[in-house]
Amino acid sequence: MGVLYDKLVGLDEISSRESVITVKLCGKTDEAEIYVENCRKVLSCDNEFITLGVCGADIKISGTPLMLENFGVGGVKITGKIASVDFSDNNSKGSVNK
Amino acid sequence: MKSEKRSDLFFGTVEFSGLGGFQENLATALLESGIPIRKLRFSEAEIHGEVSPFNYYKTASLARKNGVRIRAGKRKGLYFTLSKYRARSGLYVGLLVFILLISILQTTVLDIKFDGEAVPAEINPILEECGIKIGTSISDINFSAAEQRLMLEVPGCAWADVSCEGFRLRVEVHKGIEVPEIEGTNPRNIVASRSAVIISQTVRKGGSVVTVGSGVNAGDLLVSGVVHDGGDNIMFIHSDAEIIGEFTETEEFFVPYRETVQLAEGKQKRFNYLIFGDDEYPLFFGKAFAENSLYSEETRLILNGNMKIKTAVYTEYVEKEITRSPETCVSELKKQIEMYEENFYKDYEIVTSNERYYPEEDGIRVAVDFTLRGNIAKPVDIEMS
Repeated sequence: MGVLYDKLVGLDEISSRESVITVKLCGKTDEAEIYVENCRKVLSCDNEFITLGVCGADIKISGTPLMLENFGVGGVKITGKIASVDFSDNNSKGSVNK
Repeated sequence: MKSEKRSDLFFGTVEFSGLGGFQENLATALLESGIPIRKLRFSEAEIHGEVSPFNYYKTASLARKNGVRIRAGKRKGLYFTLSKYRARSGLYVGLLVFILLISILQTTVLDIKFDGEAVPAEINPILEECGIKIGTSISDINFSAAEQRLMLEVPGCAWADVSCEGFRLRVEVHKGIEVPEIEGTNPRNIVASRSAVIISQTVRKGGSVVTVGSGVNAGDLLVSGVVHDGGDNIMFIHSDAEIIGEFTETEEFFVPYRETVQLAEGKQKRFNYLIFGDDEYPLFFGKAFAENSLYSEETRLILNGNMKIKTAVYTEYVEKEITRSPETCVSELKKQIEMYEENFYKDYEIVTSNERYYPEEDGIRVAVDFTLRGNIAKPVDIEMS
């Protein structure tokens, strides 16, 4: 459509290549909240495991009982007693900085 | 973004559960579509969650696409509570009557509340002169004019505010704190402020050096602040006295038959401001100003008293030549004399006033001999070296 449109689309793509993960511990209880931005896909989920696909990595969260909420497009919040968070590379564009 | 999305859920939520199909794909599709979801969990091959009632049909459509058999569960929230009563026409009629009643009642003053140091008996006549009483239409009230009138007419008024809260007019008047007289201790004499005949004297401190009936010139010593104690000692004291003297003064007044005067009867320039809270927003471009004009203000309430419109009015002065008859000149002179007495002799008692009229070619002149009585005591500090 034009140079400006292409640049804007490019900017959007650059921002979606980064994913910020925030872990928030909720005081004395074992409950924790994990915020994941730019989540592209829910790969698998059940009561104990949720695997999310972000750009460049898959995030596997284990815990019990895990509950999922969203905020905005691509923003996911997971609550529950979090046991572990694992990262593994996937084939999509991007890299993992742990 | 978070609060923006959650505002959908404020109206209510629908719990849903889905069985079979590609549940992870459904979760991904919901994320991609930006539908706010709450409490999404997976257990025993079922997907559970909560969505807004406005998004349920979109969720169901996404579930069908992903082969998930979805079922709506518990519904809660404002949306569903209101839905229960949507068929009751009486509620709509009641609401309409309520709004109408409130709107009609807010157009007239039904109560006047006095705040601050306002005394209703003192304030009410002033408000009535401004056309404000119970039953007055709120849109007809000029608030700034009423405030200015209160400032002028309430004795000692430091701040006045007239505002409307619904149908209630709120009048707030605060009076200033009177400055207490501070008694000095510095030694001083009391001298005559003008030439007069002493009528009476009240000496609180100091030694009087004049007698009742005697005449004094301006600057003569009346009460001395230097007192002998009967021995060899001299005391310097802060003398204090009230000396009433009688004196005469002659003043002349003149009113011409023809005169060019400036009257504020020319073109008017009006500038409107929107007042919201303490802020003032001009509803015009440029600067509100007009040369050689009289400035006045009008304030009116709009939108049921939630906002005010202030109008700054600049009325241009125009020169007018007026011609007076001898009778008009005399009545104008009498007015001038009255105003002079009010302005300059309010602290004195006017014993007699003798008017002598002198008709001249271009007008009438009057000479008035005032015989006055009043305090002629003037304190003067004693300089110590």
